[in-house]
Amino acid sequence: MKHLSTPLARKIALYVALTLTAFLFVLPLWWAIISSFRPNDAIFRDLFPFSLRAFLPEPFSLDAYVGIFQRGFGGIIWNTLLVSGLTMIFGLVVNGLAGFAFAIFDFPAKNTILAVIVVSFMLPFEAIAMPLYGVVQQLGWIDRVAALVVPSIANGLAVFLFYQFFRQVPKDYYEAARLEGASPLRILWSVYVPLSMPTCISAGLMLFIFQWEAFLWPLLAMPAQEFKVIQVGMASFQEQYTTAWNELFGVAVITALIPIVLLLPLQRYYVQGLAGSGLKG
Amino acid sequence: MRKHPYLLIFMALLPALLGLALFRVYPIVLALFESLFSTYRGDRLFVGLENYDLLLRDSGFWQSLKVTLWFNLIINPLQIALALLLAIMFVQKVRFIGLFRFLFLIPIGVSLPVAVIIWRIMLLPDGLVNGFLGTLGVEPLRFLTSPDLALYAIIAIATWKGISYWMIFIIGGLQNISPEIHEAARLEGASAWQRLWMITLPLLKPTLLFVLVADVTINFLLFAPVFMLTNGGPRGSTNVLMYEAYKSGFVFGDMGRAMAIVVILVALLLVIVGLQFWLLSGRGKGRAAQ
Amino acid sequence: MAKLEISGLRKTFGPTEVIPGADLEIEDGEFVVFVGPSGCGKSTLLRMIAGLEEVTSGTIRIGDQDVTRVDPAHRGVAMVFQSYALFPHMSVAQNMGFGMRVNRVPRAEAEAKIRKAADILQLGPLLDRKPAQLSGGQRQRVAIGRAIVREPAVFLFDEPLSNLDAELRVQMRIELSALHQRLKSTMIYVTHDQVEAMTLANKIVVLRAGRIEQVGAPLDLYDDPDNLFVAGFIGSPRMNFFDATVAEGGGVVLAGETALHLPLEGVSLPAPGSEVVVGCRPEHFVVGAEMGLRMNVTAVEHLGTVSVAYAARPEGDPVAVELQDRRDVSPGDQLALGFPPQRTLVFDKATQSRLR
Repeated sequence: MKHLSTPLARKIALYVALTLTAFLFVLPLWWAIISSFRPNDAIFRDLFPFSLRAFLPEPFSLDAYVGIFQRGFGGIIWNTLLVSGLTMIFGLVVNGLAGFAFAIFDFPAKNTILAVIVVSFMLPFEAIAMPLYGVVQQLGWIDRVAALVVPSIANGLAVFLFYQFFRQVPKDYYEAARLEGASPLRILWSVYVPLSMPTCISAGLMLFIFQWEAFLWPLLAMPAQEFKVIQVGMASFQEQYTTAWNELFGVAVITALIPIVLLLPLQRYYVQGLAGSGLKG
Repeated sequence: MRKHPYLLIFMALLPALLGLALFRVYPIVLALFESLFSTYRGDRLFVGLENYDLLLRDSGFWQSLKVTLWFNLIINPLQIALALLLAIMFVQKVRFIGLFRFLFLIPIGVSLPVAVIIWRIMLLPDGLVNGFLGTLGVEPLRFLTSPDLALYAIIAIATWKGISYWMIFIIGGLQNISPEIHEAARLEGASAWQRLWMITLPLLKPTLLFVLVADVTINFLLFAPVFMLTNGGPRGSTNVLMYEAYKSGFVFGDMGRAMAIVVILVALLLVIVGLQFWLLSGRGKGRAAQ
Repeated sequence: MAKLEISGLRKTFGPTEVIPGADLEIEDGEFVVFVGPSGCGKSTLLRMIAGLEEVTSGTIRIGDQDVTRVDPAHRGVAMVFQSYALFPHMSVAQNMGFGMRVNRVPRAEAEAKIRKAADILQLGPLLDRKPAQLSGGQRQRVAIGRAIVREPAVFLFDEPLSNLDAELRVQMRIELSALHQRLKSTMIYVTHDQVEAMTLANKIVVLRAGRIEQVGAPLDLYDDPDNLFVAGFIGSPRMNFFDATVAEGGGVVLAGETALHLPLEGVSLPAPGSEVVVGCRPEHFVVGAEMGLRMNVTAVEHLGTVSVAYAARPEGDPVAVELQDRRDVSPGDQLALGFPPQRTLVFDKATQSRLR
């Protein structure tokens, strides 16, 4: 890197690297978006020979989106929002409570239980998806919404995020509030929750996106495919309508756009929450 | 605290712990148990270790294991190196960095299945990538249907999707390094390159170790791209163990074999993760002691 | 407002005994300061009184109620924390009113109390601000205000001034004194700074390693310490100590200074030949005495009102001498230090307790 020693040269190199990387990240999504606004027979136009017009939505058409909703994709979006929203709400309460208890109180075997939780989130859902099928089958939940929501509520990483954050809140706050006569639950609600907004946001987003992106588990747990969530819906759409390229792109764009729209205003909290979890444990 | 609020602690922990026990820990036990059974004409039979025995004598299993290991040997170092590079770019303080930061986060919002679908169309013989390459005079490549390229296409797609996420954790690690340390090194005359190797990387080691372990874990169990793109083909070149397990259990109805594969996969994973910890933190201790 | 009584109070963390057993009585309206080096158990003792730390054995009584096992919220105590523990997401008024909101005090009543406390502490214009928008001294006042609105029987302060700069600390010390005059409540204050202890307290409790070394009015501790530790801890620069032996026929001889025989008054000395420690405060030396300890000045600090000369010793801390009107002393000068017979204290070397 010696030849890059002048500040200007280094700055230019940095911008080139930034632009190139950003281009690689944006390209697929951009191409998907503009292709979803083209009629199906124009998807592969301008590629051979390649022309920059490939990156513009022309000829412009809304056929894809009309087609998607006619094929009932709206219901699938709604299903996924329901599953993700429920998981997020219950998950925040359940995991936040547990993180609070771990951070504030001392009790026997606390560190052992914490260690088990950390290990449990190190092992991804995919590893237990197949055996989990057996558990959910025993509960009689196969093809029921509960099969998607309930197993995903308790989340080791979310517990850990809350635990890490609450532990960093000065204990003085808790004690000061105790002296004022507030109960532990009241303290959680009036002091800890308002302070932990970034953590709540990143844990909430994590739970939401986790469900939004879930693929293998809904594939296994909902074999009847009457209640489809978006990733599975998209995959089966791909199988069913192999050559409806523009609609396929439309489906992909909708599927990607909802989490991105959520992420856009909250990205600072999301990055801080996850990065700040420090994982010093 | 007049008396210990045991009841409160219990109630606060119960839902989370119950959920984790029932839907995380118990399935693992169940997998171990199930792998000792076999289904023969609808009857469940206890077969002991026979599933494992059959697997070890099954060339398909060994082929699949080889694919899994090769896949991981490439994708993990690649993802970590790129994520580190990305994180270093992310924390630069220059004009328009806010925009770049947002663009860097886009793949996090794009789910793996979406990424797979978009990339699949982009990688078609008459797709965007080949159109692009055409301008450079390269003949169209059959990225997903050639046994030589399919695995690498999957690696590229998973890397595109994954590195932003790992970048976030590395950013956390970078932010923990006080700027004063960098300034001190700069005053000592260390170049940017030297600072990266002698200051940033050593201090980042705990973070990188975490990311490496988590990344390996995820890539070992990667499933969606294989399922959606290649179904293990062409000619078994992308048939990773996770997909092999899925096929056994849900296509051929042999849950015993599926569970045995998952158990072996997780056991293998634990060995590898343990090895990483031992290698990296063990060597780190030696260095710190000097 | 109430009397506070501690008897046989013990605290152990596992096998370590933090407080081996403390007995203490605090009168209604007293300003009591717990002072001692860090780790002496003073904060633990305070937190036990607050109820934030469980008591291993012994009792705490506030007024005529045994509160040893009472929930902290119901002991009638209020505490000002070292970090102030102001809730960062609440305004000044919300911070002060938090306890009343939790306990469903009617709004009008709560507002009147907040207003009253704000007047006392001159916080009126700041009521809508968040803690982050306040200076250190203002945060301190809010923390005190939050305690005042509770109208507690006992105020507890845990090193409340240690996060402030020197100037502000002096100012807050005066304000706290004035507040005590005004409210006439029982206040217990923990600090490691003996100057704060001396200036604020009606009664100082000196602690070391969980034990109460001495209890008394500030000047009593200063003039008449019970043991070496208290003598050394109270006063700055600290008291000078010299090893000595009891001489034949009364008085002591300083170690290594066979010729220097000190006559002492009002002390019953042990048998001749016993080892003792002699203590003399920096301002009590008779400078230029004929029969004096000759010391070479190695450093001088001019504080304005007085100057302090230091003489290094081969063993032990340097000797400090306070010079009222000798501003011309400089390093290299020799001083002859005489020990005034009435103000020279003697301690038993073995037991470290004061010989009177």
